[in-house]
Amino acid sequence: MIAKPRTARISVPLSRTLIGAITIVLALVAVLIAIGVILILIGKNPLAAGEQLVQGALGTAASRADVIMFALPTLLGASGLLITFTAGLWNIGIEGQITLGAIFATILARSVTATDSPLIVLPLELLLAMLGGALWAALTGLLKLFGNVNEIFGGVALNFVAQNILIALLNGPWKAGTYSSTAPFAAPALLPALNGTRLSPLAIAITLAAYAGVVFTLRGTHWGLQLKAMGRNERSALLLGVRTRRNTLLALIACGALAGLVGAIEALFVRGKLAPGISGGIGFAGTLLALLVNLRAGWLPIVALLLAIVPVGGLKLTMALDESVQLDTSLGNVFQSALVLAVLLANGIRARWRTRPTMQAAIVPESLIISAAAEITTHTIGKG
Amino acid sequence: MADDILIRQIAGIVTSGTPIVLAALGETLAERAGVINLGVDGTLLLSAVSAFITALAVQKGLSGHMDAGLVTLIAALAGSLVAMLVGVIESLVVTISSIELKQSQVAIGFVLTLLGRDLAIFLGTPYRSQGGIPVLFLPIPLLKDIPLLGPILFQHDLFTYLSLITLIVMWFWIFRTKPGLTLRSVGERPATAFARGANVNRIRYIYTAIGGALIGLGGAAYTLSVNSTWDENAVGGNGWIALAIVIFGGWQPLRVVIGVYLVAALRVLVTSVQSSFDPALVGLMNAAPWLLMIITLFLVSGSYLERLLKILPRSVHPALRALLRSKPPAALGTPFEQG
Repeated sequence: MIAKPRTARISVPLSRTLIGAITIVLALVAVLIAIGVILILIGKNPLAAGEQLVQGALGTAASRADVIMFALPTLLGASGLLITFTAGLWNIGIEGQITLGAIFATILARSVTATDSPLIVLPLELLLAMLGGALWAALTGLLKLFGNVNEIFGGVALNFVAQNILIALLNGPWKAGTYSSTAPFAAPALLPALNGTRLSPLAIAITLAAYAGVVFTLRGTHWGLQLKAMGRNERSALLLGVRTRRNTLLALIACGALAGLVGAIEALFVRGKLAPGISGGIGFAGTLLALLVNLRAGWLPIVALLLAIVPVGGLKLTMALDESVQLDTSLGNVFQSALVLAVLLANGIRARWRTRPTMQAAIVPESLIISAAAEITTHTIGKG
Repeated sequence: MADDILIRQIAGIVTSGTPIVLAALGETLAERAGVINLGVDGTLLLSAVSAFITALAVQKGLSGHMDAGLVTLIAALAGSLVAMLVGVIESLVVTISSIELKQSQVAIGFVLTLLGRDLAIFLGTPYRSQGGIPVLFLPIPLLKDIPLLGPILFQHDLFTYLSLITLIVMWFWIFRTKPGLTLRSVGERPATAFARGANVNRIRYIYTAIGGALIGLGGAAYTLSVNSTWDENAVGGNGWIALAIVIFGGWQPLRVVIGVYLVAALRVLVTSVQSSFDPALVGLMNAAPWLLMIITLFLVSGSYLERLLKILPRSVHPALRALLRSKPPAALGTPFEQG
């Protein structure tokens, strides 16, 4: 019942990569047509909207920087999810882990003053964020290990609990002024931006390092191999001596720590303060991204960038003066989840089309084979 | 009179629990057949907004042509039908991808949760905080005058009656009829059911679709009855509550419904006392249903029930077990190859 991760291949036959690419393109076209029809039905101009969307996302250097910055947290979250997915775990609780990361980073960030040194403050904030995310993920893991609570349900419940803790903090002790959010953080508490741009070199470095670390861990270490074995068949892995309980907890904690960093980037760079909805659906976007690339880590960065075009360009469409292309940003989310659904369905159709001949062979009932085998055995023995 | 207020609050619990009762019963039916429809939350949202938009459109088209009460009735029926259709389509996506395309039910359900939510928010943006059609309030003659039970159970709208009828019919169907026995065997031992002549996959299609229709009806109950307006925050999350309550209820309709009313009661309690608390504390109190969900899942799924029983007198064991023990259908979430 759990999406099985693919084993790392040294070389994938070109034809299979090609068929895979064609499947995704066909799914993409189907989704675009469907959304185009919806747009025409509500009286919009899909082609003009699409052109303005791409133009809005890639037209200027500033908007291209926005695309990169939008892709980063999703990529970071999806990198963490590669670990849990490989181990066969559904870490739906990632949204709450991001929220707790942001809250933990804020514990320090809100008391930082303009004279503090960022060299001391920033590493501590990031460590706190990782701790917050990891603790929240560990809670999901402990519930699973000691209470047999499925990580999906534990995760969902903890997401809502985290959301309520955030709201309670922002309406109570951390409230600044009339808005339910903290005051903007002092400059040393924030991740610095590259001169005159909206790019954060530190956020880029953290994300790429985390991504590379995850890929190396999964492909090049014994622990990565153990997680793969667990994802394939947890029972067999246990029988082969893999400490599955410990690894379940560790995989969740590792993912939670990276999710905590996502929260830190959101609070310390994107928003510059702690505000409601700080996780912003990034965790779920990361889950969709991991499902979309079917856990092939190599595709993660490029697909994350391509997907980021839609929300960044979509933001421009909400502000469009021309009524025929003026659209709500929620359509971008529709596109994303519809695309993943279409790709999953297309993969299924492709697999069914490929395996049809073998399914024909499996019609013979098992018991018939057994009785035939018994007959053959008795004949052989009789003759002997 | 204090008693009147209490009775009204209990009736309020029944009303506000209705959509989740319908959704949780629908999910129970699907899971009894061995199919996890994880997309409940998205389906609730999408069917809720579809019912709302349809009902408003029908009302606008018909008003002036006939009696206002009749217009409301037709609008509510049309909205409910569209909502149920949304639920059926969603459940078909789950079953087709699982049975025909061999995709993971969890993956498809999760993506459908997000897709349903996103689509609902997109479609509902122009309708946000618009007034809906009037609620179909139908006190039942005679029954409504029974002391205590009357005001609690028989002074409601159509959806609440439907939810209670669904409970009775479903309980009888699952535990007292032959097709119900087949349904249970399909969820427990599909290979055995197949050998005895049951068309396992067709049965899974049918019950998951009926379950989807019930989830859709639950969505309609939000926008046509409980809130009678479109607000995604009032609906979102309840699908997950419904999924958890199915586990807490041990896949038994009656226990599931009791679980729903417990959560609804907790919410009514939080709402009624929150004005006297600090806003920061209210935020934490709103987490109560989710904490309850974690604690109950912890109790019913793990080995803690048995440990708890050890320190309690032996005479209460059967009652507590019947109330708290929860074992999923053995074949839940697994595909069946019927060749």
